[in-house]
Amino acid sequence: MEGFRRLLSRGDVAPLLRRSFTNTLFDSTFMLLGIVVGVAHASGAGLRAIVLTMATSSLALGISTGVSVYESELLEREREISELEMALFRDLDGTWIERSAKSIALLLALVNFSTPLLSCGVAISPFALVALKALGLEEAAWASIALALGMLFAAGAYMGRAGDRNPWIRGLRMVGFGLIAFAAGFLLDSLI
Amino acid sequence: MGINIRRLLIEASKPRETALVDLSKAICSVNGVEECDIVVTDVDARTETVKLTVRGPNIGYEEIMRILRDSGMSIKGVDEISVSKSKQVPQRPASQ
Repeated sequence: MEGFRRLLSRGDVAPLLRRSFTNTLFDSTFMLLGIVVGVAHASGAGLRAIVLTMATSSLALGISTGVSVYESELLEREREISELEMALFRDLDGTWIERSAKSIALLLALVNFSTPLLSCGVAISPFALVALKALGLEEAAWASIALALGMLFAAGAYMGRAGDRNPWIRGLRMVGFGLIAFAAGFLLDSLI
Repeated sequence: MGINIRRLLIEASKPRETALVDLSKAICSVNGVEECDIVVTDVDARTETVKLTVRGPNIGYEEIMRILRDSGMSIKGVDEISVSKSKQVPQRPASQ
């Protein structure tokens, strides 16, 4: 626990985690918006197809971003350690510097892996109500879109607050982009 | 009779990622250490040169060095040291 606290006290870790979380949240939410528009609204697919598409796409995105972030972050950290070794005239193998580099890469990978699953958990929840016969498929799709837009707003507002900007404007801007993605999905459906 | 290290002045280079607060707490947690002062004397792009003063009745030198090495520090040398001989108080024979 002390090691984790020490890791988070490093100045570069918290902004890195924050950036990683919001980036992946946007990616996964836009992807889910596209799936709901394309599969649920446009193609009129059944509940099983919608839920499976949302879950497997989120899992694939989580694995993809998790692995790529881990590899690239570790590579970058190893390069920094090599430069530090030259500056300090010593080998840093087995030191806290080396251990923390691996821990940061792992923590980032974990955040990137779990964020799409988190947004999927939120966006998929109305479809669980369909399985319980508490909601129709059409209503669930609209509720899912509303939840996805809500997530975009929350992430935008959080970013605005973190960057000392107006959280309402940032949040609404993200909702605006979400609506563009939503409209583009519908337009694409009418064209094909 | 034992020989005790009571004060150490160490000059070392540390990575800028290593926080002074964490480092000083780790040093102070060593047995026989009562105080630790750290002064940054030089700042580089990636490293900082620091002077550490460690005080205590019986400083665990090896443990201090282990902590410094584990924190990624490059020890330049021990600049000052104060050592004392601890005297054992002779036990009085039990009075009859």
